Amino acid sequence: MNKAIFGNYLPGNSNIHRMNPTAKILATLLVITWILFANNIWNYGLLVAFAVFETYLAQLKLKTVLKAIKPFIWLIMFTVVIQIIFSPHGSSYFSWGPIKITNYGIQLAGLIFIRFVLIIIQATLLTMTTSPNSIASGVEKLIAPLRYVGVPVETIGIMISIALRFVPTLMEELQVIMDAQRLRGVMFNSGGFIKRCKNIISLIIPILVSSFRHADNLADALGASGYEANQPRSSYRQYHWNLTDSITIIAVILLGIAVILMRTLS
Amino acid sequence: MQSKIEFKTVSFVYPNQVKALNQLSFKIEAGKKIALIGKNGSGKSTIAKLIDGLLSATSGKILIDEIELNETTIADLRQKIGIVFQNPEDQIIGATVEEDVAFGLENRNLQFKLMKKRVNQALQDVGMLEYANINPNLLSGGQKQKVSLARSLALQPSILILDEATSMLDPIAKSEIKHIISSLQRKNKLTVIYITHDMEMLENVDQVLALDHGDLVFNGKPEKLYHETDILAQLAIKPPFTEQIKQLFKEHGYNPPVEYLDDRGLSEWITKLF
Amino acid sequence: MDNKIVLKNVSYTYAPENIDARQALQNINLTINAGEFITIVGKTGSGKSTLVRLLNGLLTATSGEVIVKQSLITKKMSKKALLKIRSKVGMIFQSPENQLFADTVLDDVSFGPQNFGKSKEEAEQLAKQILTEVGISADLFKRSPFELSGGQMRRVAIAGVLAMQPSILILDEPTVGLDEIGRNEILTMIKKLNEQQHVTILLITHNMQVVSEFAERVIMLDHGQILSDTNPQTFFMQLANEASLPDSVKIYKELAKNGINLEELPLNKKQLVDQVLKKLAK
Repeated sequence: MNKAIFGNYLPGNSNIHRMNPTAKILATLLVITWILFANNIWNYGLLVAFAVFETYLAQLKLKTVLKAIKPFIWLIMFTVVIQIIFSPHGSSYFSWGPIKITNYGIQLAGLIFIRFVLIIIQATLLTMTTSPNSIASGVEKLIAPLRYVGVPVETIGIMISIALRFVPTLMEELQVIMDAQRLRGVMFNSGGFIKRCKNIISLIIPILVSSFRHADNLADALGASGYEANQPRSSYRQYHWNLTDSITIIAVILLGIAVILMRTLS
Repeated sequence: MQSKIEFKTVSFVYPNQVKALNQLSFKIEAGKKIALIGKNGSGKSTIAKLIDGLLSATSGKILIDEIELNETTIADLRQKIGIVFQNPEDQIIGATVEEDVAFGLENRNLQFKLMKKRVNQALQDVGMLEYANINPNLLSGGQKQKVSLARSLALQPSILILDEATSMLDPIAKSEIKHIISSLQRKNKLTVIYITHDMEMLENVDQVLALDHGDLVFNGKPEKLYHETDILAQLAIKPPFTEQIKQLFKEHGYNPPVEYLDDRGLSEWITKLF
Repeated sequence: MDNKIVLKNVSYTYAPENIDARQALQNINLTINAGEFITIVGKTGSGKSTLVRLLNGLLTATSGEVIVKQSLITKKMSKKALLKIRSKVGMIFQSPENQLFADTVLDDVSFGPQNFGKSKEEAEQLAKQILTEVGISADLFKRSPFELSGGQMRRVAIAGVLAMQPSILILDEPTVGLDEIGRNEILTMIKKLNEQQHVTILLITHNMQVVSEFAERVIMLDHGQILSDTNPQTFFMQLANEASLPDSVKIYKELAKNGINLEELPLNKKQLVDQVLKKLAK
């Protein structure tokens, strides 16, 4: 029913929302790299402060951003606990068979925890402030150099846009088909293996048939609009590389230098 | 900007040997409103796709403004034609309404400023300008069809084909689109082809072409078709409501006028009986 | 069996845990008796689809009571009880051909009855009978449903629902995209089910011509509430939007403007002509 919601894009008009998507994706990739470089409380502190600052600039609530961590919480917890109990180095607080809790283990677990959270926050800030289609065209621009080795970059861009456009349509159709089969007596979460397979087939076949039909019609619509693969096209969506974008990239590079210099502090 | 279309003994056979059109010959004069009717599978949509070059004729000639449609002329001729298809879901490509309308202009490699101007004009023409920045997934079926219409109009066609474009819409959206097209037709002197099985769309058209199993069974004014009971039966269509009423009055010994009457016209005639 | 449907103070809210939750239905009170032919009208988003999904447990009311065939539909009801309700409440969606999936026409139509406990033989017997009734000839039974024409696919899909022998049948715009003859065939079939087998019909439609020719009772929803619940005559007299009125009503109103007031609002061509002739005779 919520046709607009895909991914977790929250439309807005902050400086971060308005950034060139190519610059934004590049900056995000750089910051994630710095997160992997960081190794102590000082540079992690700096990166946390940076994430908070970004959230402020994006005019988002910290709570909203932190919510995105929820689906990953078990994975994070699992990794953290493994780190704590199986770390062999450092002075031991407690030991029982192979399990040993050490000061080093706790420290490492803390760093891994913060690393996980920071990476998720960076990815979330990108997807919350950038529409899926802008991400698609940002990726298209980033992979543009591959054109020279024969990769059909524009075609990939159109393919991604169309795929994103049809996700909500197909989701809605899947819901209706599921409802229709339920009313024909299908109980999706019960029955033996063969029964379950048949139930799933009653969803897969219709959605495949429907995808082909959409594709067929869409091909006509593309043709009628004069689209031909690998022909030069102009772009209606204008992304200008603004001062904000340059400043952001410079700031992110300085942040990286700071993070790397601080590695020696531990 | 007016264009005429001529079919000369055009046949079309699908790759699986299914015959879709059988030696069709007809003319559509520039600036007219035409209805192309027939049962599902009678070959109506095949005609639309032939005109737009999405399919090419197995034999015979198609002329647009006296120029024969073939591989060398197709790119130019296609620029004269806009099509809106049946399913509103399957035509929207862009992430926002304005990007969608711009899609065909991007394919023509136009400059941004010119695109912007044409997009705004087209959205204005269909009354959707205020939705320019909306995600099309949020629109109703009727609004999506208006966007599709705008996408065609932005290309400034001289021939507009509506391939069952209103059959999935509710009556209000349907009548809105009908009005938009009528006023555009007058303003831009478009040649309009309605492909339809909806008798309501026949109101005010200049010419009706009726197809049955790939054969042209009628070519003339709509009023004339309403009296061809055999052809109507063959096409599995009912005459418009007012014509049915006229028929009932005839059976009761009254003499309603021969020419087509709409609801208001029929009411006038009934009033005169008193 | 009691086929009554009763809704008491029913509200439904999408995703109530979210702040931006939308209330799709508010305080609906409704009784539908066995064997009624009802049309449900209203704009997209007025709550029509939500309302009918409450009657077969696809959705459960956020508050209030939904009672179908004397059982209260709740989240906690057993699978068996839910299946029992679903076996009696059939639903035909818009473009029902989208739900076809089996290898053959016969397999697809007998899928539902088998899920509801019929043996393969019984189900196939039933499927053959219903397919014949909807106008699918026996030579198509062993064909793949995807080889058929659009109109035939739709009939097969409808047969797949009718084969479950529902006593309450919900139809959500079942004739969109069909030509007039195809539309009338389907609606006439539905009307026959209603008249001969007393199946309760709930038909969602935008088409006022359909309302005027088939309905006995019209329920109009707006913003999740029942705006009116009345007979077609009263409904059309109240309906403000001129563009969507059926022709007979438009002509009635035109005549009234010209000073000719027919005794009753005509709902089809025969009623219209009869009324005019009656008035002329006076």
